[in-house]
Amino acid sequence: MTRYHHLDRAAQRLQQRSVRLQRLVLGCDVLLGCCGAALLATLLAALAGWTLPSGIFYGILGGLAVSIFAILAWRIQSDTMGALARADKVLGLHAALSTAYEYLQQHATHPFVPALMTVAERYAHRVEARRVLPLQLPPRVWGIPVLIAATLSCSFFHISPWQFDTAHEPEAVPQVAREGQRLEKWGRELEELARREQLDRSMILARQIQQLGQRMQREGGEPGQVTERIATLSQYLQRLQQELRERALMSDSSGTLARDVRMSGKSVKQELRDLLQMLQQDTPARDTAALAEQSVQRLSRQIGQHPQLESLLQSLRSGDLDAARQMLRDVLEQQQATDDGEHLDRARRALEYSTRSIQRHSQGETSAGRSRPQPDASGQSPLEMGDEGMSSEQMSGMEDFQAPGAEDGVGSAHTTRQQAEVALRESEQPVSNVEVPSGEGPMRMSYIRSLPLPNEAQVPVENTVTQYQHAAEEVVAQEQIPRVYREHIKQYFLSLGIMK
Amino acid sequence: MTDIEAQVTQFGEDFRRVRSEIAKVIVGHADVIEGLLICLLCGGHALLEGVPGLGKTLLVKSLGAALHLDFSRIQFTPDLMPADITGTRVVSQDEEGHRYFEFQQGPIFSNIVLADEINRATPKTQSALLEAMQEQTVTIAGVEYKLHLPFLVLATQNPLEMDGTYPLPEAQLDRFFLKLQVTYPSYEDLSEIVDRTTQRQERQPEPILQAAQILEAQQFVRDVPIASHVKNYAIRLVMATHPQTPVASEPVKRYVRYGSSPRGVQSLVLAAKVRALFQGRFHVGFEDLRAVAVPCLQHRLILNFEGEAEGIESTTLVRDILEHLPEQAPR
Repeated sequence: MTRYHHLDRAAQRLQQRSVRLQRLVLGCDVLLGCCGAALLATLLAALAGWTLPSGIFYGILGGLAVSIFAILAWRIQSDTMGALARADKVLGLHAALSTAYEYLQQHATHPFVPALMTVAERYAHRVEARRVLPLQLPPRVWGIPVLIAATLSCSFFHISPWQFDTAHEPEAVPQVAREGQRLEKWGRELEELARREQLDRSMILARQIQQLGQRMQREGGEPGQVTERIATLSQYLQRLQQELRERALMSDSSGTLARDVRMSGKSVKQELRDLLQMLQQDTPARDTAALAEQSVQRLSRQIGQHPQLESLLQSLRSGDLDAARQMLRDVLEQQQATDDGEHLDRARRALEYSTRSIQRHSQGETSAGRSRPQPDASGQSPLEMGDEGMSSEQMSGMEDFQAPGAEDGVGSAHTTRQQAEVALRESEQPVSNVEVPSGEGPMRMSYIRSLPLPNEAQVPVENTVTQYQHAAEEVVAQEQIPRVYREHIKQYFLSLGIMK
Repeated sequence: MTDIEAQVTQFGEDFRRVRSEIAKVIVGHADVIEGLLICLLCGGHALLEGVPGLGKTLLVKSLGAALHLDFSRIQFTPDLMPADITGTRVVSQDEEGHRYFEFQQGPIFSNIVLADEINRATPKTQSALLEAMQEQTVTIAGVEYKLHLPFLVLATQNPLEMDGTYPLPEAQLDRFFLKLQVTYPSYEDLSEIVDRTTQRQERQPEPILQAAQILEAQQFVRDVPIASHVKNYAIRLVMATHPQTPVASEPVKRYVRYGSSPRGVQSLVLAAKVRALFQGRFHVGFEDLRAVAVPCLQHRLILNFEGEAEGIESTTLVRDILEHLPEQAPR
């Protein structure tokens, strides 16, 4: 090896230079990453309003960067052959140095080695490491001063913390007021219905809904707060419903009578109330008992065999009026609870609707809600609207409000007409207001099917030409056809324009 | 000066003299002459392509004359039979009147064989020659006969007048070490040709090398060192001719059906070694590979339907690869 010290020293110089440059680039990259992390952390801290002790923070970051650099720099391996190959290229030595070095290292006994080394030694002392491996930093290094400047700017200039809700605040207040109006209106209607039906719990809740609506109109407030208030009221409502359910479980719920069946223009509940009133007298007249018995029989015929009505009839026949009265009171209480539950359910849906409306608006998705008809604008009272087949999602201003046992006629025909009208209104909307990007899309291929004309091809040309082209290609490739005709064949298939 | 240096110097000197002797007769065509010498020193065969009248036959004759080697010429015609090339057994009679079969050698039993217009013979006859090229033996009636070494086949084919010809299939083309294009001479070369060929005395080449020297040179060539990164470049060059490899260029992907066989990289490295010695160097460099890439690879690329229809030349594709392939493999 000592005989070829020029090549050896040149290889060492190039190797050291190569490692040094690689470490320099690595250092720049680590510094770049460190500056990026510092800028990111400074920005995040400023936006989130955190106060970071800058000395500690930058100290940790610097220590981390130094550790990463030390680990990666230690792993950098010298590429002597690469450096020598580069020297060959830069100095135009026709791979003399790299070949000589490789053969000296790996095939030292090769007969050509002395000759190779003679030439390599001649060239090696001319190798200048700086010329072969000049200092060329990647352009990304320019990002370091930019990032440092940006970090310092962030530190000097005060950046106020990010306010997430400020963008929606001006619009939230009118929306809350509007929802307050709606809630107050629904509360009034609910109270009126509950009073008419003598539903105490519903009445209390309806008053509280009205109060909440008035408060929302008066105070406004942020959508989040309002939603919380509504949620609190909903929790109260759920507790009421839970109590009703527990009561229903304690009594025999199977005895609930159909409320929609009409009895000479009266509802079943009204009929039962009249019956109870008739039996309230301590000593009812004989014809009164007979009338009551007839009424119960008529009721049984209308709504079918019912165990409670059967028991009531037996009590009346046996003259046990106390038992009959008690039985009637139980049935009425059950009916009352059922109606109360349904009222509460509607109130719950109203509150849910308001919550969703406020949330949707605060998220900027109210465009669909605005396009729906408002309760006032529809021109119909919520009391007149049926609720069958309507989910709370479809509610636009509580159209599905309907009093249990409403007197003005319950019928599916009315509901169907209402749904039809809603559908009609929807169908009159523009076909689509969805915006789609225009431009090039996937190619659409359409095949026109028609009866083939006599004596014409039965198979479309698209289906056969590829097959024939492949066959022609194989025949042409096998050199079975003279070259002149091969060209004609290729040109023919090219002219069809269905090349792969 | 070391032994190797002396040998390399001698090698260079000998072949410079051979070239100068050939140049007494042949004007121009320096690349073709170098290609023929490369084939000779690598133990390969060459396919010369050029229109008639460009001196292909004269070139081969002159090579034979400059090398002290036997020379024979076979004019390929559609009625040529394999036995016309390899030889056949004929009935002979000895002094006692006994008859016996005697093998009569065909024209292939020469050091340099000129297969003129090889594409005019039938594939059966072509195959007989190509088998001899590959194995350097001929088998007649179960008896194997060794051909004279060094054995060099120089086949010519005319790119025009293709009617009624049998172009060599790709598998047989692959057996030619190099494919050399004999181009039309320049104005100056034509002037020189006129001067030389219209005088009373035509110059003749003097024999320079014997067969044994050539065989020794063939072994010497194989010792020339090639660095691993230079060898990797040769491999990547050949890989780049395959359309399915990641290093393939866009034109290769579009117009090539099959790339070069492993024979391509063998011929590339061997030819580069000879060229390095011609240049007086003891090792192969990148430029040696680049210089021999076109004659080594052009006939080994099989174009697809689209490439042939659009008249793409395989030389263009090889030059495109050379232009775009980096010397060092990307890490």
